[in-house]
Amino acid sequence: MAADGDSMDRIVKIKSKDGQIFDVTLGTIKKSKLIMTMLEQLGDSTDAIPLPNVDGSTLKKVIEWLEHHKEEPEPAEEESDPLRMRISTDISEWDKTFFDVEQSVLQAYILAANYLSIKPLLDIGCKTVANMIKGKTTEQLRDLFGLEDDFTDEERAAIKREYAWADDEENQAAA
Amino acid sequence: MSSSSVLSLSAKLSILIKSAMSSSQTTQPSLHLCDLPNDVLINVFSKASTGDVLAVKQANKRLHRVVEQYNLGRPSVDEFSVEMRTSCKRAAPIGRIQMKPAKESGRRVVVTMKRKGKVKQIVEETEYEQGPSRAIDHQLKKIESTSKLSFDGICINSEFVQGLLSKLNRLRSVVSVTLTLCRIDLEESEWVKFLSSMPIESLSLDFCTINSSLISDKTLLPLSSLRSLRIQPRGLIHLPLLTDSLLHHWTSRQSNDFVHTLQLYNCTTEISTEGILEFLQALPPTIKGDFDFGRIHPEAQNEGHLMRLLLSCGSWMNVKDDWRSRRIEIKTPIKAIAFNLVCIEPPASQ
Repeated sequence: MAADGDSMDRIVKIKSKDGQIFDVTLGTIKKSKLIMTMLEQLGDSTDAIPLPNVDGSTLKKVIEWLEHHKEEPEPAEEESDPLRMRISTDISEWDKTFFDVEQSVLQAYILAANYLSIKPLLDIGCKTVANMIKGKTTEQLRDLFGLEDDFTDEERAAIKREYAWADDEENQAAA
Repeated sequence: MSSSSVLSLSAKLSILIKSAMSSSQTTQPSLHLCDLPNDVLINVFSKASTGDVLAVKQANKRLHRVVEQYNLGRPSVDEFSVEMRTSCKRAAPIGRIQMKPAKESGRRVVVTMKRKGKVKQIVEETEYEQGPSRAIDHQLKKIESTSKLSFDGICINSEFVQGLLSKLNRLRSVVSVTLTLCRIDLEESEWVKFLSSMPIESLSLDFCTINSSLISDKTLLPLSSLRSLRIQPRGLIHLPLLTDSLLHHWTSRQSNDFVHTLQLYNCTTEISTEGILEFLQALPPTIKGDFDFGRIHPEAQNEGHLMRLLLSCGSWMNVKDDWRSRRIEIKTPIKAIAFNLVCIEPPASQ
């Protein structure tokens, strides 16, 4: 991105689901691929960009995160294959505090990051969820995330057979 | 996003929003994994361990489907082996008359994966078709890596090797390769690339159809971790490109991992009695080993070296003459050494 200082100071208006309008600089919001694409499409229009999937309180926190991380460069290379095992990224203290919220809020952050296409924010959110999953049995996970066991008895038996093979010892209790 | 310029700004905007909305959902009172879009779940699972992903997979249908569909939570296996057989369905005989075989023939592919003593087997039965089996590719996608790889009855050609090499990270920990009854139909460079893509310690070629030029110093030298080599040809085979310099290279390697198994019975090589003597003398006396140097052709036999060989390392010795060669077996408490001295010109290659 070869944008000069002037354009990075440009003010972009974004509007949340509940009608709150936020003024952010282009330098702050540039990590959002969705907004950048919209700006390209909109040209010089100064209308507020509506974001009907993000509520005001979430958007406020996302902007706070973007402000804090705005000096950080984009990750050098885009991981094109999402299936490839990534090296587990350590979460900084600031981000840990940022994500130390209720599950519903965490989910809102993740969905907002996904919707706005802010990859670094999404990655940290996903890592936070991965850490929540860590070391838990299937039963504990169902409780934690309010998941309903919707398998039929036959499916359950088949799954049990299959995973007796693939499961590690420490997860045997989960079967 | 290629909206036509005729569209108004607001129309463009609504298209953008719609396309983005489809992958997002409204906020729920607590974190419901099931409400996260697939790409977010994939992201989460790619950051979790295999065991964790497998625990999640068993929670409910939706998560099971995502993990299954995107091959997440792959286990590492100890052994990945594939056996392929083709069969011709014969018509029932009428009395003593056997009719011509029916046109259709079948192919049976058995993929066996072993993991911590547990075995999983997948059988694919298809009408006979050319080309590699889909089952191999499909199952290989479901594992993280394997330490043993064995193929039985498979045609190993360029296409097959390229398919395997595209999953290079699954091969990164393969230390043992066994090819049985395989037809190896590769250029030398492809063969070398295939072998050196894995940190092979043990290589066995049993009853394979292979061009003798593929078993050479040049193709085996790059395997820096090789400690065991076994070649069991279908019959006598001449390997003119396998020489003393390979033996010499093995003993001059920097690491302490010495080659401890060499089985070349029925292979006539360019290895000489001198090469064998030097190889054995260079091995530390405490190293256990099992060596069959195969058939030594007359020009490579030197009586002086042979005498020193017999006198230096043997505590038990057996000499027997079989057809056209004299087999010599020497045993010490920790080493077994054997080779055949060919009496006349070796038969032509293959």
